[in-house]
Amino acid sequence: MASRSRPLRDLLPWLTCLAMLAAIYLVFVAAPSEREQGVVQRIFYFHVGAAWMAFAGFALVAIASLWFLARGDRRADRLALANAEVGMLFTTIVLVTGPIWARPVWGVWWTWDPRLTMTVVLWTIYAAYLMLRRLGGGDEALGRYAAVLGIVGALDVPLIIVSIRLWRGIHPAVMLAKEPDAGLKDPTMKIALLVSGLALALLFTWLVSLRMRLQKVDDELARLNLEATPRMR
Amino acid sequence: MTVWAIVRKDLSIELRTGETLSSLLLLALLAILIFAFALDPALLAGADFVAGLLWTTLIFAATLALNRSFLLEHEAGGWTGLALAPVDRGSIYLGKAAANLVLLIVAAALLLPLTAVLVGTTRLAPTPALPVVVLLGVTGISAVGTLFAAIAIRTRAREVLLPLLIFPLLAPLVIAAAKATAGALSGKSFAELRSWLLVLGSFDVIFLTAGWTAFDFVIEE
Amino acid sequence: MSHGRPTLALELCVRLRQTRRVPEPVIDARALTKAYGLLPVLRGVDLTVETGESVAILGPNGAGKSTLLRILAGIARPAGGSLRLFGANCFPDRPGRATLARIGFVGHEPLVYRDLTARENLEHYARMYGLGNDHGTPRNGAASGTSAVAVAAGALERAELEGVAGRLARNLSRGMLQRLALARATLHRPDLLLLDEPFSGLDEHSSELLTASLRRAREAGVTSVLVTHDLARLAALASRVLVLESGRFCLDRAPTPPAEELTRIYRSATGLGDDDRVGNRP
Repeated sequence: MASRSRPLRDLLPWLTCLAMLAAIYLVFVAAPSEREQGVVQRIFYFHVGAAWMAFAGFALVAIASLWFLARGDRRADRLALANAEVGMLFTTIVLVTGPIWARPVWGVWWTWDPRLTMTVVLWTIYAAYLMLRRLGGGDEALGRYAAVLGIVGALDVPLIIVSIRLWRGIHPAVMLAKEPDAGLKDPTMKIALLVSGLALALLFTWLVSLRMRLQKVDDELARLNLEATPRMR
Repeated sequence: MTVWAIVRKDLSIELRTGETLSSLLLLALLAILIFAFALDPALLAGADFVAGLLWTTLIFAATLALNRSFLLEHEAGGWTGLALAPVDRGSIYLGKAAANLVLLIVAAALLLPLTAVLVGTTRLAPTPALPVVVLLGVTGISAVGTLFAAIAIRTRAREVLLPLLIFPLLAPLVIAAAKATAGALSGKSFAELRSWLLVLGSFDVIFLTAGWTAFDFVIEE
Repeated sequence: MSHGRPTLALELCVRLRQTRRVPEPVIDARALTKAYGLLPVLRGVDLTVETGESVAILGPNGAGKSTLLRILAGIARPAGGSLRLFGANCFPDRPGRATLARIGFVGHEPLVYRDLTARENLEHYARMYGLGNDHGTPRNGAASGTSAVAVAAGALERAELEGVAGRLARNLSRGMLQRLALARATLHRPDLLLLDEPFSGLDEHSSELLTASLRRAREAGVTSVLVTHDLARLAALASRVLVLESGRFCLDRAPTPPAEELTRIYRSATGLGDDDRVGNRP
């Protein structure tokens, strides 16, 4: 995700809008209502799509962090922060849409179901990353500290997955267990899921690119400051 | 060896002042009391409660010990003295982690019987797996804690930042350690606790390696 | 910009060429930049210091002198430029252990542990530097057959601190702490001394001790870079003076001019008035 060429960058918002419109149509109009859960089940499409991106964002933070530590490229640092912020946003969406779905369907706002639990832990690691950036002061090394956290956090994820599953008594080998009420039998539902996933992925990418551009402007300002010549006597 | 030099230095200071260990233990004891008042031991007693209480208090108390460990360096001029030395930076990490580990082992050794006595009952059946579990657990706390305490000490908000940084990362460790300790207190053998021990062991290896590798980036200004 | 190791043959050729040419400077810094957050501190510093030179760096507060010294000591990393110490690439690469072992640094902080005695502090540093044959090979100057304890004892003696060797560092006076700091910095007989305002807070006797040991070091061929505000002593300590202002060097003079002339040159170079700290008596 290096700096985009102009045409692609300008195209991104339009693509995102298009995809979102398609997704909204498919989810709310085209896809049939799930028999048992009713209308509220439609939130599932966005919930799952957001979850994919939340985890993807996490991986991207780690990759960008590795790149930053290896090369010292400022772009990598900006990428890491942008992904962390947008990833945090999407994780929050997952954690909000989850209970909204769960309450009518299961009768409780929250369960310690492995996926949700893992998402909460993920959220706290994102939060730790952002708090480090915020509270870290103006230390030049802050980017490096955050990068360490980003990478270590990603290393933690497999352990989190395994330990939570063991905690809940589920054998960790059952890695790709479907959502309890997945039951996507209707092909339209599958399409709706894919399109909404795509729409959210595009949204994620667009937000990240916006955030990166904003950071770049900030950095330009700092660089101009650095290059200002003092008056020689 | 660098690691030994650092451990020796930290332990000399601790033996002389005793500040960290005493406040750590006192804080843990107070935490146990507060939990006991808030959570009614009569209803909850048993291996699970003892294990849960032990690790909760250990983690909170550990943040104190970790902060102090690096406050030591901060007062001595930050990392400068250590950064100047012609040593592998990873060894500095291992040295600090080892020194912190010693403190945590002492704390755990004292807190475990204390917790068991205060909120446990005679229904406990400790097995040889117990010391192994506890050792693996505190090693993990030290591994993660040392790395991020080194980072946090450089920032303005160091006291609040350290728990923020390490608690999320310690989630798998807390789960594994608490469950395994509960098991080890209920007569479970090594074989039965195998999964948890594996999680704990992997955690330790992964984070010790990560800390050892990353310390270069943490030490520089 | 990091290269892999050249092959042995290539390395030998490079070495042969180097011995025929002028030896590598101890410090070879080009276009160093550094910022703390958005605040630029160094804006392009060039500095070349040859073996045996004694250099003084002056400048108003906030000019970046301490930052520069820390970069030269290998503990701070510049944002840009290049740095070679003893011919080894220290930026963009990292300073190697061999390079660090040849540098002695005295900063604003004495870098000692308050709850250890003076002796214990030096023993700790001796161990960290691998001094004494119970912890590795002896460095140049340290006699073989000594231990870290003996090395520390010797350093205490040279710093005239044997009397307070058993005293906790928190109970030492400022002057003693500074002497201890210098002892720590010279424990491993470095080839390059970097001193950041070493005379600040020192009483007369300690200042004399320091001046004497710096002179001895100079005579022994040790290269030194000294940041100071003390114009009066400067001529005795340094053969070359540079002025750092707003992150850049604006003056480089060798041999060092006498005190009055130096004050005048300094004021005009930095455009500072009479209330500038440099003109005040310490």
